[in-house]
Amino acid sequence: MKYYDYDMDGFKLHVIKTNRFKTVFYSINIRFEDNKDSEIYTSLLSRMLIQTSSKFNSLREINTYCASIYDPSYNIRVLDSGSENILRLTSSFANEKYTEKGMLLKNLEFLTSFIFEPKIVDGGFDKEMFDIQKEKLLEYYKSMKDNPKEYAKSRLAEEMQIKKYKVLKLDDLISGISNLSEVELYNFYQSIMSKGCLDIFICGDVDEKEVKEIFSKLIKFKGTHKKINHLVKQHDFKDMPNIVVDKTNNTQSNLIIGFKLDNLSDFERNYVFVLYSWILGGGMSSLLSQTVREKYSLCYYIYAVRQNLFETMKIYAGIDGVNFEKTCNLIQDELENMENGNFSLELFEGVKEIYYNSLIRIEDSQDDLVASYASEIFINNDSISDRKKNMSKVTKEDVMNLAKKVHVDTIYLLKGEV
Amino acid sequence: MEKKSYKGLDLDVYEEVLDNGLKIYIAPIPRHTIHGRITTFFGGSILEFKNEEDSEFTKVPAGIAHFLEHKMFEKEDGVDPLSIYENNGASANAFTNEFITAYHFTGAGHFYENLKTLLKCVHEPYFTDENVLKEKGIISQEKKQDLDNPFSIVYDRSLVNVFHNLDFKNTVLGSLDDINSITKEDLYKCYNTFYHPSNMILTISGDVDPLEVVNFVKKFYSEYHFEKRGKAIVKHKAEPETVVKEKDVIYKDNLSKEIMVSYKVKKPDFIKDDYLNKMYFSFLLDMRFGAMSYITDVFVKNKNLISPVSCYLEVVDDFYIMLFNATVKDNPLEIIDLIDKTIKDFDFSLDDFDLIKKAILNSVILSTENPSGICSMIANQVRFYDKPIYDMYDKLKGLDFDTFKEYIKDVCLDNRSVVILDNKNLRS
Repeated sequence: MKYYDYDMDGFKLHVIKTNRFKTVFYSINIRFEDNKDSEIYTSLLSRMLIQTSSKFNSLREINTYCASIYDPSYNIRVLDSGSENILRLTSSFANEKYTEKGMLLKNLEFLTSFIFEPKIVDGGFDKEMFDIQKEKLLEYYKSMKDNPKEYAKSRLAEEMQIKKYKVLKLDDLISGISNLSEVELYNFYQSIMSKGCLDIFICGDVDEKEVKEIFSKLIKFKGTHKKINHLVKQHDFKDMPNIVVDKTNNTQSNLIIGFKLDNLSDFERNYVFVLYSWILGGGMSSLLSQTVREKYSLCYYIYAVRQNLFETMKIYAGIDGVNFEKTCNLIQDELENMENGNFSLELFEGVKEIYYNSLIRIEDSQDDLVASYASEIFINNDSISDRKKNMSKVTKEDVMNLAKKVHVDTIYLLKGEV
Repeated sequence: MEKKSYKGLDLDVYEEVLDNGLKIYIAPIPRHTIHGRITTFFGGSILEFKNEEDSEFTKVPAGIAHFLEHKMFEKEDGVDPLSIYENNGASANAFTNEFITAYHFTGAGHFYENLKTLLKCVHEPYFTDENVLKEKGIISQEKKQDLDNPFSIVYDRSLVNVFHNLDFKNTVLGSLDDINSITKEDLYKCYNTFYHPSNMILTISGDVDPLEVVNFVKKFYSEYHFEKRGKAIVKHKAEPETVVKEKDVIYKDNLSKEIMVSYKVKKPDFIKDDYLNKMYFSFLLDMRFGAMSYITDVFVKNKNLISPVSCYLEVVDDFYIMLFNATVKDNPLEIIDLIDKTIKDFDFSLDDFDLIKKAILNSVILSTENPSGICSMIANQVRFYDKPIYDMYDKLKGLDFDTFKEYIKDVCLDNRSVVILDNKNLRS
């Protein structure tokens, strides 16, 4: 495997050359600063970009052409990355060795056009499609309560406020999107194109010179992005958690507990925090799973998820509402066990092994390979070999010390009938 | 051991059958990680069965295959197999669908320890009244997720409304009552019938030496005493072509409406080859509802649709079941009619057919890119066709439009069942 890095016309091209795959993975990443009210624009933007194109008149036309070039799969999303957002296209298509000569160029041209050549009419996105997509998105938000997990997540985000800018309440988000016009959304898109930072990744059995040649003709980018820090530090640690209970007529209750962590070092955030969350609520051997699920049969799922770039963590569980207090007390006990180092050395070493294994697995997936390189470039992650070295240095005491920096912020329950 | 190849896909498979009946399929590919999977042909839709020597069929509660899957991780020494995988840095899990239960791991390194853990996991049961009771709380919570999920609500009801006799009508998890009725005796009965190697296959893919793996597996089984025996017999039930109920409305105080439209279609016998028969049938869905169909733009522009319309194809006994699901703002009947008119429009174009073929060939290449995808493909083919389809690439390339048009003439779409989750009237 070889890595090539080219300075192109306003962007960087990264080629990961490997003959281990039958497919080519292609990813466009435009990073831009998270701004106030960005969330009003981002969901609609990705919907518009993926469903319209200046080159085609309908989705059927897009999909028919797509099939004619052996059906590349693709997706467009806008992701939260701490204080930045990333407009990202990811795609995968068969290497032309397995289809026919010339398909590399055709696939790259087709996929690239979604991001750089949207259908624009009178200074705005195509109005007919914009109005339809807006209405569908609004209906999705308005009926979000039908999807209890998503609704609970959105309510916790409103309560916790971990982002650089205020997270909008669902009603405010709905009203913001309702008032948005196709011209305003296009202006937002243009601001990303003028202020963003573009990185292109290609991974597969390709000729790096041919790829460079293709992109030198395909893309010219005028973004003026300045390097900024992705990290969002948390403040306002509470002495007593904010307890919020909403009611529904569901059978099950959805519990999410949100935590803020107090000023972690890079080493803590990248390594100790990983171990902490996995020991507490990673796999089936984790403390939460063993206690709340296996010992007390209170739930089917319980797990902890980190948001590294925000220095926050969430614990999710589906329970009977009558067991709310009991579950919270058991979770509290396990948090104390983390602080006191009451977890086995076997578990501690086991989760380290999982981490080392995940590093080895990176080379088995083009998606992971690109994500790994991207994380080194975007958020200064260590190289894979340094990651292994650093993880091996983490001690049980490090985990216990980190546990003292974990502050419960909000306990949210979407309470069902049972 | 016999070496076979998926032609056109650069994929070799080494096959072996052990004396105890276990079939082994090993597909070496250049990846650091190795995926191992053992599959038993016991799934959620199998509720009446017997061994060759039994005179009577045994009937068990719905949900038992899934319950058994949970309990196989309980061991007498108290060591959860999942913790062994985790200590080796591997990930592992299991799943149950209507037809099979599969246990699998993925890991780089410690391969033989992981493989041993996998085999021990499925051959060393330990069920007690106490640990069965404990699991009921956990599985009940798993079930309750479905009870609140609009898709699951309409899907589960659809199965009941489509099938008169086939046990496919029972959900894989069973009802809360089913779950709570299961005993350790029921579990042992199912275990003893279906977790014999003659009802199982082992599939492995990744950076492995096939001969070494087979020798290891043989040595493992030499310590267990599985007499050779025939496959378990599942009770055959005759199923009429009609549906049980054509329309059903469930009321829940949701904010949106959910629909499920199911077509029950007797397999046309125009094509004898089962694999090709299914491929030709799936073209009906691809041609009418796939990305290139004209309906794509109609659905996208329809403001009544909150979600896209998803289509699923199930093969159940002698039937193809086509299921269409969507989340709708108002007027579910408008969308149901649109689906009905579209699926019954048999005006097909050769160009579309050829393009869909191209897309399918690409998806086949993608499915051989990772160890778990390969194991899954082999296990599915053995389940449905009794063997891997090594010439699938050529078979797909040879799909022919005129044959499709002839084939589709025999398809009858008269047996339809509709379920609507409505929000107009609140529950009383």
